[in-house]
Amino acid sequence: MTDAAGPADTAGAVEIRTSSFEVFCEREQDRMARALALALDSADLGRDAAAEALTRAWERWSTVADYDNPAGWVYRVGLNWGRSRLRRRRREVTSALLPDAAVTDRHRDDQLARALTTLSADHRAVVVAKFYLDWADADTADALGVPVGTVKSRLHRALAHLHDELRSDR
Amino acid sequence: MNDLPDLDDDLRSTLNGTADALDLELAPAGELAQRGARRRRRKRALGGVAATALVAVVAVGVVGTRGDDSTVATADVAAATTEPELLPPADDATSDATTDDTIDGATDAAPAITTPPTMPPVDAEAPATAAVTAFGPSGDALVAPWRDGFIRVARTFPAQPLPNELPDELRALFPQEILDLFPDGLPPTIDEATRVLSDAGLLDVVTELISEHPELGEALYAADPLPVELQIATTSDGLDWVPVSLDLPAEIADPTDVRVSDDRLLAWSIVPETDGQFATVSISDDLTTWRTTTFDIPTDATSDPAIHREAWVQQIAPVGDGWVAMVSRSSWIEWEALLPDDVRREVDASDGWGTSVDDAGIEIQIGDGEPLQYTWDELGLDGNPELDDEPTLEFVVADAAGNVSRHTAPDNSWGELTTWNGQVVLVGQTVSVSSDGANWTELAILPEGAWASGAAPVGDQLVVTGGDDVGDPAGWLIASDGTVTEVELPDLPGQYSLWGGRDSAAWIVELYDETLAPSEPTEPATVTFDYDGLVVTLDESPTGSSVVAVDAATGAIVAERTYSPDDAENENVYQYDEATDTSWLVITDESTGDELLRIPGDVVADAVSEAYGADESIVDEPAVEAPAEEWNPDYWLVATTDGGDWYTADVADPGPWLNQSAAVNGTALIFPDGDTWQRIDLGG
Repeated sequence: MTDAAGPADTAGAVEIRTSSFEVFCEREQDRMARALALALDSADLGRDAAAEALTRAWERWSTVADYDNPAGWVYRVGLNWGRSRLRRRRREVTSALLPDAAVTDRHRDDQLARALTTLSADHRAVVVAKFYLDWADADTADALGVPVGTVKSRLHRALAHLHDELRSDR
Repeated sequence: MNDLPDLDDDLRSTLNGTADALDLELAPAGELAQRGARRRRRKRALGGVAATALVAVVAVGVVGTRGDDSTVATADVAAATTEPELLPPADDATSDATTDDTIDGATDAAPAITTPPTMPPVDAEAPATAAVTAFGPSGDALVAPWRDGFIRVARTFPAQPLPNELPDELRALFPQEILDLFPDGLPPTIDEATRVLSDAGLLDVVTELISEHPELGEALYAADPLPVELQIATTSDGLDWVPVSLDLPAEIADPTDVRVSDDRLLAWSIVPETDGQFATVSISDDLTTWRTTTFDIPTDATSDPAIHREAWVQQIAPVGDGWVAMVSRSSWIEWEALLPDDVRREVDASDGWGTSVDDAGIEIQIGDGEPLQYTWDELGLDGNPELDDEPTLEFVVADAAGNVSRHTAPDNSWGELTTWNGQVVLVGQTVSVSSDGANWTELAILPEGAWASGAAPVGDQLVVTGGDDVGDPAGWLIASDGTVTEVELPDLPGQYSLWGGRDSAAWIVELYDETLAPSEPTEPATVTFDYDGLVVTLDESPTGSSVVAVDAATGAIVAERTYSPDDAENENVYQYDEATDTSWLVITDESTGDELLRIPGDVVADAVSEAYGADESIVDEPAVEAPAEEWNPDYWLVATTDGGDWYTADVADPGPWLNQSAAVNGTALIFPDGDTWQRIDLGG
């Protein structure tokens, strides 16, 4: 790492980048936090994961801002960070995982909401990306760093699983 | 492609409804930028020097059955820079220069961080707004707000008295030139005799004599030390101090500790008696009349003489017309006492020995000998007694009449006790308040991962100090309704922590740099092994640790990661799956967290064992010896009256009572420096 400023690193350029990050935050933070909360099934974790991912985005904004879908990068980093925290909590807490914080708890009477909680983390992530974030499969694939075919496969399996859950619930 | 379309609308509706119902309090963009800025400072402070413990992590796999599944100790590394850094760096891999705080528009990028009004060093020319006044010797004293001014409570430790004469046989040990120094007999104190000997250049002679003849030392120190004396003075303006004649109850004439809080002085003693251990607490709000209460703090004697249970009064704070004491109980085991007599004698005679304890028993390493292992059963114990007996807390409450009641401490109740808004407050990761010391209400919770080390009232709010989830110093303001607001602590030319529950938000801190001194790498420092078509290399060096996986066929790098101590993901390097009782070494991408490589822990453990010749001790915590340097600590005053603006000043010599030697009220800030106290006029 060098302390020398690059040729484009003028004060004006920094201002533009800073403003750009703020605009991005204002546009995406709420949506990312809610998407991550759904994907991680925890409001607190979703909020914190979004904050963590956005902080990392700020640290390397000149790179992330140039991505086709910076929100996709944030979603993926947030998912990774959130799952990492969940692993740690599992080590620290022997009881059930965050039962009070599960975002779908308040919709326990909703069969579909309940079924969503039974999806695997990977399947849940693609379901949220498609049906909450309204991303095309290609965008989801790009965000999660997996082939489009994998996204389609996960979606198919997730929906099949949800159908099974709903049938068994009836 | 979705061949089950009938769920689409339902899914959108359910997910949107669930998401919309979430009550999320999101951090402003500027706050995220500040957080990122702090991390950048920390990384820059590292200067690329990393000292992490990947091999130590792997060692968990080697000795995995011994302890926690995957906890990896990481060191917090200080931000050693002082300049504000509010703007995003221009590029992750290049420049920091663009974060210059002189760039216009910085305040557009993030909420403004109030630049703390740094006071000049006390030995520098002070502006009119920071009048610095010396007002008498500091000594060992605590200061605190008292009424509209301050109180100073000094504890003086009288010099050790000398006997008038020594027996002839001991007197005969001294050479004549030393006897000639004291023609009229010994001086009254050891301090005085030491001064005379030192001036004559004969102190070393006497020191050697005492070393060679322990009976001489015993005779010189035979007189009982005089009790500690409390000297108290008060001031209304921080300038003119009025001594207060104290008439303390005999039970606390030589107190174990004292505290001033909420305009009350508390002094307490812990006295072991033949029939138990007792604590005596005296409290006064006028320094004349005292209410004294004694309660027992039983130590729960055990039948096994090797197991010791201890109780201690950790903190006391006034509440209502009485007080609340935080009493801890803990146990420890005297390992040596458990060993067979011959081994114990060997331990006693050895120059060095160590123990390693786990669920199975104890391992004793005496000198360079073969380690000796004993199961708990062999030692007559039913498992590790310390593991089964975590320290516990209780609150002992006394009312105005001296009635004592005992109460189970609320969960997670280790923390700092102080008074705030007429209540006693317990500050840990959770902030709880109580109006009687017995019944506690949770008021606020610090952000996840944050920890509290200090607390003090500032107006009608409470400032809590500690560290954030990445280990940086952090502070929060707690409002009476429980609202938690992060505050920016001042930048100093080093790392610091604000410790202790205080009656005013003023601390003297010692700066430190937690950057680990590079340690000599253990040999071998590199472990290479084959796994699933990959050649994996784990490397530990004085500058960091890394893992590189190369495709054995093509030579292409499949995964590569270097770890530094402040890498939060470091603790996820080694993952343990409780359900399957399997462990993994998991390497993730530094930026995205994407998993790059997953290797079974057994494979790694075998490779490490082979490389280290199955000598587990070599990877247990190699000793780190920093090069000897002259100890020249840098002390600073850190204080605030509102949690927003912070006063800082370089302090040359704050004396020994760092944690209680500064105080601030609405008009002045006082602290010790050298032989005098200093006062900064706040103009209130």
